[in-house]
Formats: sequence, structure tokens, C-alpha cells
Amino acid sequence: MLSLLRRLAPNRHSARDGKSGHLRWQVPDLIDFDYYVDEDERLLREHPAERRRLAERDRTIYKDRIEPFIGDADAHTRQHRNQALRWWLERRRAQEEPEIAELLPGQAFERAQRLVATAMGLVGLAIGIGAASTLLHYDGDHPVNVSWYLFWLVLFQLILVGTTIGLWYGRRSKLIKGATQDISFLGQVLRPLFSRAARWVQKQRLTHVRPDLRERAKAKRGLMQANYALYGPASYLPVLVPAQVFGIGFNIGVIFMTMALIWFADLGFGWGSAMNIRAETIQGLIRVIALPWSWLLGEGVGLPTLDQIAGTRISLKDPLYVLDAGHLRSWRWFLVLSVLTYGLLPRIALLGLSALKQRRALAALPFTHQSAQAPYARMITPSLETKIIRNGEGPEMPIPAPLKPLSKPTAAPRPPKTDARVEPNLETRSEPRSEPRPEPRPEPRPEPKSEPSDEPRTTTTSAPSAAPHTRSETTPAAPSHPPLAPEPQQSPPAPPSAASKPKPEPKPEPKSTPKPESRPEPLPRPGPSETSNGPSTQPPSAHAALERASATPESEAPPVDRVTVDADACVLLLHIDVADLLAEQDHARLQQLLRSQTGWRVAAAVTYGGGRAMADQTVELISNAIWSAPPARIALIQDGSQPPITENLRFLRSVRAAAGEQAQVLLALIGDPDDDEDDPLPPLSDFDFADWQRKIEQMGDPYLRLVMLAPPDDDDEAA
Amino acid sequence: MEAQVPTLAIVGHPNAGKSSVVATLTENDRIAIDKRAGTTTRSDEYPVEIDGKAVMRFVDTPGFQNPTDILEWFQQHADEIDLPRAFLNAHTDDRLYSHDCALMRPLADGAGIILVVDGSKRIKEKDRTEMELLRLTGRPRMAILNNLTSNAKHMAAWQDALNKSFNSVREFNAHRATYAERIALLNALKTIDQRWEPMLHETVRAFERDWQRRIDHSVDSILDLLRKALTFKVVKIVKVNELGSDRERESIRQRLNESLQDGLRTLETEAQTEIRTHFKHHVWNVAPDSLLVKDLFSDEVERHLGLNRHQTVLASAAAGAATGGAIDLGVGGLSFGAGTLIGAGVGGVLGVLGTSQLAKLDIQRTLGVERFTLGPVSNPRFPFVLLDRSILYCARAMNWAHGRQAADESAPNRVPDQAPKKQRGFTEALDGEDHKVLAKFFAAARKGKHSPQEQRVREILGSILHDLSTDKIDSRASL
Repeated sequence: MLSLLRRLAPNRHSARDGKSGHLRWQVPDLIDFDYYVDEDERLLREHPAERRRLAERDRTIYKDRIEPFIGDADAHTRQHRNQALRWWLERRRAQEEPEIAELLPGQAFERAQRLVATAMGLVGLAIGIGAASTLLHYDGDHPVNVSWYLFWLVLFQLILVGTTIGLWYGRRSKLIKGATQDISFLGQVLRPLFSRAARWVQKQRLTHVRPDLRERAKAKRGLMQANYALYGPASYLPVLVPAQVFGIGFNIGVIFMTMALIWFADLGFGWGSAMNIRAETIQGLIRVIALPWSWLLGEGVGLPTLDQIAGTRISLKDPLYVLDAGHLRSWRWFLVLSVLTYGLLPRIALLGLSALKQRRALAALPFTHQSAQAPYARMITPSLETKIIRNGEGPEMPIPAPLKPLSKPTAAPRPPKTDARVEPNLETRSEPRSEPRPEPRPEPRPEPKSEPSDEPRTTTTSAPSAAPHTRSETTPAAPSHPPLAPEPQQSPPAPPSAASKPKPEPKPEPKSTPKPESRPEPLPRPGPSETSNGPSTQPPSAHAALERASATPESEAPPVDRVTVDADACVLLLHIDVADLLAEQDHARLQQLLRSQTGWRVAAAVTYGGGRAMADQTVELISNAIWSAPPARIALIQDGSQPPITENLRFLRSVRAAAGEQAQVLLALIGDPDDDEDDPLPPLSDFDFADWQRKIEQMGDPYLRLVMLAPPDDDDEAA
Repeated sequence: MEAQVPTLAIVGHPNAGKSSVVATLTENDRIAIDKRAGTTTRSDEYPVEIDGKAVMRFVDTPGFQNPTDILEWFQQHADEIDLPRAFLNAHTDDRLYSHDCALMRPLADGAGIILVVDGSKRIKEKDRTEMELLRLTGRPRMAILNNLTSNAKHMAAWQDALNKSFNSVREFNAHRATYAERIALLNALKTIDQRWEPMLHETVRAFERDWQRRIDHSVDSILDLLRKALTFKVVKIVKVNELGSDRERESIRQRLNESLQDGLRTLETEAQTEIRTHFKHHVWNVAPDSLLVKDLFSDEVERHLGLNRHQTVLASAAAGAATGGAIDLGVGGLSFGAGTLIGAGVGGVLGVLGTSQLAKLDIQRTLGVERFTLGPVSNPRFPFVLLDRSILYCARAMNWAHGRQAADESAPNRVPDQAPKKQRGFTEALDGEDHKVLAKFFAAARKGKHSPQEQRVREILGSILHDLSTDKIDSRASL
């Protein structure tokens, strides 16, 4: 009996099918599943932040220990969902401590189910025994009337079985549904019984749990019932099983009692009727009843013969002894076999059927209800994470060190009022390599006379008007530099670069030197012809820019080797990005702006920023320029809307090296020109300017002044 | 195996917005973004991991410091097979090239290139240099036009210039990019190197699923909020002998009303925090004029969100007279003129709810004690307003790019948030059938019951959020 029960309500350890990876759902599993889902939901309600951890946990479970068994290909199908969740449950259970696992509601339910089934079986047995002994009560006066026995124990049971089957198959029709729900003895009586039993089981178990686990274990109590509405037949079938067990017990009891009475007592059976029924009719009836076994146990054994039937007819007037004792006993096996066939076997069949149905129903569960979606979604949704691998702080943007010759004493002495024009850059820039150059230099010195002629050329039309009155304001700025110049400068430039000096030096030098030397004579001035053949690397636009930019200088400067720069003039270095956008008339405005910032006219203009060759040319020009009233004056105009990069700073360093330590270098920034505004020299935003300011400060060059070429408001003109 | 993980180095000159692009692409608002130039000094890596396995990797690099030199060096060494590696070997010890080397390193290791350029500015010489030198590296490359302003004048020129050297050119506003745009960008990466296609396909799918999951979670949060808000009530028990006059009664009523509103506000804030977490936002600021900043019970919120009067009546009627408010509102609708007159006189104490009150006050007197209960909210419009606010919040969270932290919201020429059209609430735009479903759900939620409509409500919200993220529904950015 018990082993039969165990087989019918298999526990989870035997739930595994032959083929690995397939787990079957059992009712206790549903209960545990609901329990875990509920636990998770509660956790999320109370701590929404746990969502992420749960997602991680379930995904890990799935990836490591479920997917290898059931695969991932058919995700989202019913089968996959069913199995994934079943495995999930298995893994969740496995994570519990063994002692607590015993206390899971499903486990308790399973035990309770077994308990209830056993109890039902025993009760059935007892009732069966009672019923049989009542019906077979033999007082010795009258034989036992088989009609009653057959009616109660065979026909009635058959009707019950028939009703059960009828209800089962008709359960979908509304009429029967309503009826069964109302009189559902199963639901009304058995379900609370289960719960109570399960709770009792848990309580019993709890007393065996280690004290330290008890608190946690207590949390596992409750929620004994699966959500019946969600699982349909799978949920009420388990109640059907004990009912069948009861029936089986009952029939066994009946058979047992009947056999016992037959065995230990001499029973006389008979039949009677007030109507005129012939024995043949009864025999026909008996034959039909005995059909299932008459082929094996024929007349005389399995069923009474006609004589025996006729001989056991009870009539009230006849005393018992009239009847033949053999005839009276002949019914006994017929009765036993009838109960066996029509009582016990159908019950066993029903039990099997229930188990089968239950199994099918469980296997077909779709698990699409809301609460089951969550763990499934957590399992099959890949965790997506973007991490940060920090490689630590890198070095700041490199600030190039001043080029070597700067700190040489030769650079310093220049500024004092040697009225003759000097090339401050000569030694500084090129002393190691460009020896040939210094020699030709001396001759151009007497050229100062060309000065007046220079002026109109560079400043074209607007210069005369602008120059006189702006100069008055800005001259103070210009003179302010020379006084500073003589003494302090020697040391200041050095410190910032001291540390880094050794390294950068080798680099810029080889790069900047080889090219100018290879080129014929880039030196004279920024004539378009030279530049265009020089830097082959420049994109076409750069050429165009150059041509345009140099248009102004070309018209003015005679094709002399060197530029002569007057005391109030400077060399203008125009970044190619700026030069690109300047139309003829814009040059005037540029010069005007420059003059308002510095009071300088433009003696010569050259573009830079289009590659090394261009840079070298520029440096060459500065080196070779003939300066009246040294130190040199150089203005650079650059687009400041892009932040400064090392390359820009290096160029500034090389300009400084070429122009001399105390040369006044002005870096004027413009913003990104806007086509609509028709202004190629717009002011720069304060933010961008601040960016430049920071970097320029880091260079530590006291003679380098940073301004916005066209300040947004006249007041800010800081350097 | 490791080598096959698509790696993309985000390069560009300083301040082009590389870090913003990375932050937005990887949805990581913890990436330090500084508006000052040269903030990124090291190549930090941002692997995208699916189930702990890296499927792609972004490398944020410092900006180019010496592009001209690099280009010239490349041109001089044109016969080198692996230019980035050769350059790296030659310059690794040079301090002046430290940033350039950090930038070259991932390229030397085989990374693809995403060049980020600032499309709002004119193409400069430096940009041309960078394009050319990146072309010479021979690595698969894509260019991103990161235009953070409304200045689109140069975009065409950029497109032309970039098309010459790059396999793919895309516009991408790192401060405004939506989910759909991010996915589109990732998809475009497939085209620049065919070998990456399977991995990127998987990545994109994972992103999509992840997004769906976030939507689901947000729907959960919203439903949770609605359920809590609709069952929320405040109780105050006062001894009868302490109740002197009707004035005190009135003040209790006022106080209860305040605490009911406070409670609802707290619930909303909690839900918003949850939603924000779903969308991985840590840094976040809502425009000061947004409806989300406004008080839940303010007039503006009431005016813009929720259903209109007519819809409310219809929906509530469908949900059954359970709400009670439906009748109030129905009457209010009929006697509209009178209602407003009275309302104007009394002054809008409960502005949100128009003529109908937020919740009913229940006073029970027992054993010398009066028990004042306010709530749960019975106003039929309120849940719709709350729902609209929550959806609006989701919309903001979904479409708030993670790289936006550094955005200069005050910049005059930044891309304006979408132009305000006629703005209605989200729920107002739904059809009547959905209104009824929602109203029924609210009615059930009020009673603390599980509603059979929940599944449908979930679907409605899910599809709204989904359409929001794919730009099928306007995100009401101006609200």
C-alpha cells in the first residue's frame, strides 16, 4: 500500500526521467515554486534595489546550471519555460541548507499528502470492514441476502465511479461545473485537511531543526497552497488521489472481511423476491455480472449454477434447513469476485487515471502567469553591463620645454638700446646648425630707410587713419615690456622646463632642422612660390590659403631676402585656418584690430599651421628678419575655438627660440567664424579663452602675451 | 578569443566630446566629463559585458596633441605595415607624445576607430590632418559628428570631408541621443568591419532586451505606485473633548489633507527613484520649468496631464459608480459655469482636482474619540495625472543621455529640446477603450483588489514606453 502510494505520489528525487535534463513537475514543486516566487516578489516590494541582485542570481543560475541541461535554442517556448522554471526551482532548493530544505512548504505538502492518503486508505479499510460485516450479518435463521450486498458494494460503487468519470469528462460543461463546485466534497473536506496536515508536519519538523536555523525555518512556513486558479486541473487532482485511495481501502476492507467471514464462519447466501421471478432470469443476470471472470472460474466456482440459484431462493415460509447447504455456500466466490471486479479494480483504474491526468496536466503547465514571468525573464535575459577599467591618471597634456638656446646669455643682452637693428634670433635659434646664415645677415642692416615705404604697404588703406590714434593708447603696452626685459628673464623661463628639458630637445631639433636645409632658400619671405613647392604634404586648401594670406605681404614687400621690421611694426603669423577665411578687405580689419591691441603695424605676414615645412619657413622668416628696435615683435593669430594642443605650444616655443628670449610675442585668438555673421574674426568665448590661458600660463613664458583679437567687450583684454 | 572582441577607440582632438560619446554609448554617467580640454589623460576602457563576457569594448583616449607630426611621420614611414605600432615603438618614451601614444596604443592592438568631431565648428586644418592620419592607419573607422549645438551649417561639409576617409559617418548628439539612436549607431558599427558583425549583432540584441527589461521594470514600478497611491490614507484620532469648535475640525481636515498630499508625493518620489535606477541614471537634472519639478498638486500639472473632463467622466462611468467622483464630476460638468464661479470665490485649495475633491473625509465617533480618515484618493482624475507624470518621468529618464552631465544647458545655441507642439498628457492620447481599462484597474486598485485588467494595463503602459523610446510617441520634452 505504502509503496503503491509512493509510486503514485513520487517525491522529487524520483521525478527525474530517464533522459537527463528533464525534470517533471509535481504538485509539491508548484507549491515550492509559488513560495519562492512569492519570496522574491516580497523582497522586491520591500527593497526595490534588490532587483539587480536577483537578476544576477537568476541569470547565473541559468547560465551555469540550467542552460547546459536544457539548451537555449527554444527559449520562450512552453516547453523551455516549463523546464527552465523547474530547474530553477531545483537549483533554488539546492541552495537551501538541507535542514531547511526539509521544511519547504512543498516538502511539507508532500508529506501531508502521503499522510492524508494513508489515513484515507486506513479509514476506507475500516469502513469497508464494517460495511461488509454489517451486510454479511448472519443470524442463522435466514441466509444472507446477496441482493443487498450486491446493491451496496457493487452497484452503488459502480454508480459512484461512473459519476466520478462523468463529472470529470463533463467538468467543462457549465451545468456540471456549478453542481460539482457546490457539492465538492473533495474541495470542502480534503483541502483544509491537507493544509492542516502539512502545517502539522512542518511543526513536527521544526522541533528537530537546530535552534540557530529555527528562526529562518519559521519563515518558510505558510503559503501551503499553490495558487489553484493558476494551475487548473494540476492543482485539484492531488485531492482526487486520496479519494481513490479511500475507495481502494474500502474495497480491500470489504473483500478482506468477506473472505474472513467465509473462511472463519459458515455463511449461507440466498436471494429472494416477492415477485414471480424465475431462477433463469436471475441466472442470466448473474452471467452478465460474471462475464469478466466466468471464462476463468466457470459455473459452480465463480458463479452459481442454475440449480444453485434455484436452490437458494429464500421464501419466508420455508425454514433455513430446507435449503441445501452446498447451494447456500455457492454464492461466496461470486460475491468476492464481484467486489473485486466492480469495486476494487475501477478504483485502482481511477487512481491510475488520476495520476496520469495529473502528470499530463503538470507537464502541460504553460507558466505564463505574471508571477512566473519574472523569474523566467530574469533567467533568459542576458545581463548587460558596461564596466569601466580605469588605467589610472595619465600625464597632463604635455607642455613643451623652451628650446635650448633660450637661456644662453647671448639672448639677454640684446634688448638694451642698441639702436642698430639686430637679429636677436640669430644665435638663439640656429647656432648649432644654420651657421651659413649669420654671415649674410650683417649687410641688410643699413636698410632702415625702407621703413617708411613699408608702412603704407602693409597697412593698406585703413592703416593711416587707425594707426595714429590707436597707437597713443597702446604704446604704453609695448614699452612696458622692455623695462621688464633686461634682468629677470634669464631665470624664469628655465624653471618650468628644467625637469623635462633633456628629453624633448632631441626630438624637435632633428625634425625642424633637416628640412629647411634641404630646401634651397626658404628664408627670404613668405612668397607663395616657395611655400607651394615646399610642403608637399599640405592639403590643397592650405595652398590656396597661403596664396591668399600672402597676397598682402607680396604686394608690399619687395623680393628681398629678408624682411625689415620697423620699430612700430611686427611680423604677423597667421594660422592657416584664419588665413583661409580672410578676404582681401578683412586684412585691413585684422591689422586694425592688431594695432588696437598692440600698436603694431604689420611688416610682413606669413601663414603657419599647415605642417612642418610651413612652420620652418615661418621660423626662418623670423630668424632672418631685420628688426629695428629689437627685441622682435611677433603677433600670432589663431583660431581659439579648439583647445590648445602640444603642437600649438611647440610652435610657440620655436617662435620664441627664433625671435629671442625677450621678443614680444602676442598670441591673439579669434573664435570660430560664423558664416551668417560675415565676420571672419569673431570674438572668442570666455570659456575657450580660459582654456588657452591655462596652458599658456603653464608655459611660463613672460614675454608671451595672450589676448582675444576682438574682445567681446572693450574692457577685457587680459593676458 | 579576446582579440576578436570588437574594440573601438574613440579618438579626436581634445574637447571634441569623446568622453560624452562613450558615456552615452555605454550609458555610464559616472564617466568623468570635464568641459575643459584635455581632461582625459589615459585610455580608460569600457567593456560591454554580456553575462560577464566582454562582447565589445570602447576605449576613451586622450585627444591628439601632435597630429601634424604623426601624419608626417606616417607619410615618411609609408612602407611600414602597421603604422600605429611603428609609431608607438618610435615615440613611446617621448613625453611630448605621451597622449598621442596613449591614443595610438589601442589602434596598435587592432582597435577600430570612432573619430568624434564637433560638427558645430568649421573644419580646420587640424581636422583634415587627423582624418588623413587615421585613414593611413588602415583600421576600420567610423566618424561621429557630435553636434551639441543647433548650428548645422558645417554639417554638410563635414559629411563630405569625412566620407572620403571613413567607412561610415553618423550624426550623433552625445547629449541628446536617444535609445533608438544609440542602437542605430551600434548597428552602423557592423558595417565598418564585417568580422564584428556576429558579436555586434549579439550586443545590439542584448541592448534591446535589456531595454525591454527596463521598460518592464518601470511598468512594475508605476503600477506599484498607483496601487500604493490609490490605497493610501491618513488617519487622525482626536478626543472629542479636545475638539472645541468647527474651526479645529477644519484645521484637522487641513492637516490631514496636507499629510495625504505629502504621503502621495513621497510615494511618487520613491517610484521616480526606482525608475531612474532602472535607466541607470545617477546624475540628472530636470529643466527647472519642467512639469516634473512642479508640485504634484499644482495647477499646471493638473492642466497638462491626465484626462480631460469628458474623458474622465466616460472612463469613470465605465469603471462603475465605485469611484463616486464620477458623479461629482458629471454634475460638475453640467453646472460648469456655476462651479467655476464658486471655485473662484473659494480659491483653489485643491487645485489639481478642479471642482471635485481629492479624497473623502470620513469621521467616526466612538467612545469619546473621533477618528478622522482621509483617503484613499477618490478623485477619478488623480490616478491619470499621476500616471501621466510617471510616464513623463520615464520619458525623461529614457531619453536623457548619459553623456549629458557636462552639457552646458545655458549655452545659447545648444540644440533646443523639441519644439513645443500642442502638448497633451500621455493618457489623454489613448483611446476610450484603454481609458476604461485603466479606470477599471484604478477602481480595483482602490479596493486593494487584484484586477483582471492588470495584464492589459501592463501592455498599454509597456507599449507607451516602448514607443517613447523609439520616438513613435513624442516625449513631451517641453512639459
